[in-house]
Amino acid sequence: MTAVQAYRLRALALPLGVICYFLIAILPPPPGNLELFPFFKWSLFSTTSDRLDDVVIIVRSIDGEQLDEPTHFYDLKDRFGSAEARDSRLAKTADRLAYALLNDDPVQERNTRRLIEHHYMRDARSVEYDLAMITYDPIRRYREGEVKAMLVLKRYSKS
Amino acid sequence: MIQKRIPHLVRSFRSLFAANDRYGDSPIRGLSKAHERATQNTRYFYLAAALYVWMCLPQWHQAVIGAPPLEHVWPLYWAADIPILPLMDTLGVISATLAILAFWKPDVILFRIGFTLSFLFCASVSASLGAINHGHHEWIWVSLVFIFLPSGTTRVAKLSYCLTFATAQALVLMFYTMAGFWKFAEGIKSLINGVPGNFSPDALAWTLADRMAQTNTSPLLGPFFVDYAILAWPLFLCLMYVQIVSIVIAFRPSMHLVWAGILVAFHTGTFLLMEIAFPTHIVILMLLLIASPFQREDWLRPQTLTLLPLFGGLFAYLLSLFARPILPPRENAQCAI
Repeated sequence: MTAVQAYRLRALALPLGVICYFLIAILPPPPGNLELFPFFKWSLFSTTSDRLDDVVIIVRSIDGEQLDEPTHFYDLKDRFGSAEARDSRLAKTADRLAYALLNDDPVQERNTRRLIEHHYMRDARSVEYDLAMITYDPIRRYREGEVKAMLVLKRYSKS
Repeated sequence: MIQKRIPHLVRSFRSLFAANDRYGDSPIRGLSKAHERATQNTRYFYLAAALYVWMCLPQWHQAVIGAPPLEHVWPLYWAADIPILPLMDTLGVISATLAILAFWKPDVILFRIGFTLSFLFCASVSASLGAINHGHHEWIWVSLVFIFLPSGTTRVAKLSYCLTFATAQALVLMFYTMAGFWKFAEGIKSLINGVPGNFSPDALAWTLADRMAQTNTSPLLGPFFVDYAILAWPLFLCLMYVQIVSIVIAFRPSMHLVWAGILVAFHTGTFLLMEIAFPTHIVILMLLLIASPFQREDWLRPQTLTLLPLFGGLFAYLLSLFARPILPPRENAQCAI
């Protein structure tokens, strides 16, 4: 291939590659996945409103010790390294667990739950927790901790 | 026949976005200089990549201690039966070494391919932990584009080099456009549904409050903009504009520097308002756009603002109001006579 042909090939293939990335990234991901790695659609903080839903993990007991009140996982900084590091991947993994539950996909549910319990909750031997969907006004939740509604999707126990 | 039409098609495509920045007619003025700068920036890319990988190594190691059950993403299917801790550490060290080698000899394609593949595998381990770390994406994609950098010093080879480098710029700018597109689309969806959304005056305040409540963080300016949401509104609208039109900037080299500055300011804002830092994105903006090989001016001139997407015409009009009338050269000459 001559240098001119190589240039022409690049002039065609590189822009096409960029367009292909765009098309693949915006296509729906494979079932059970939030995206097709490494194609990312770059949807970051795209949705907002005065009424939001979020999937959260509410911990009820750790190593057999009942907490004073059910507590959001990220508030247990002194008990879990992932909470202290504010590892946002856990929030996305919780989304996937909820997605598996809502789509009645037991294999995905088992795998995702195993990952949460063995990796993100690795600092505790046993944990009782709820996977819950909360509905809230973000400003009221931030200022007063107020949550309008909480729906427990499923109760789990790591043992 | 089609092959011969390609350069013409590419020029037409470029002209479509280039406005009156002369990129469309004359792709690269001072080709040798642009090539030299692009070569230099490519080398620095691998320097930054080496630093990034070395800094990631302890985190990657920490993430797989205790052999967590992975949900392997497709690039890692081949490694499903290999113990994850030694695999992660080995891949990480290989990737860091290849980044150093690519920095040493950026013209050796094997080093560039090796770095891209090894880094993809490292990012895949991280992505197999249930959710994906998007900090790695730009490095994967820019290094993938850099695989296609040609060697050689002929004019055509230099053109190919600059074209490939410009593709990396366009790709990164397209990521910003996609981010803006989704915000805009969701805003339109909310308007159609008649519910509050991204075009509401409180939009940014909701996002900030949500982030602070979710992660229990207290960024420096987050609480202020939640309390005075109306001040955050124009910032959010400007952000949507800046992100959406970013891809157009790839075709307007005079705007590379100023746009990179705006995007760095945006990333600084995400830290001050949300406590999310994007250090690696900033480094890539520095390498590709702040030090753009195609930048025409060293500093921002008022005329550059006329290239601003959508609002360029307005700036051209405003500048014309303040500009002193200048006689054409021939008339000047006649006056002198």
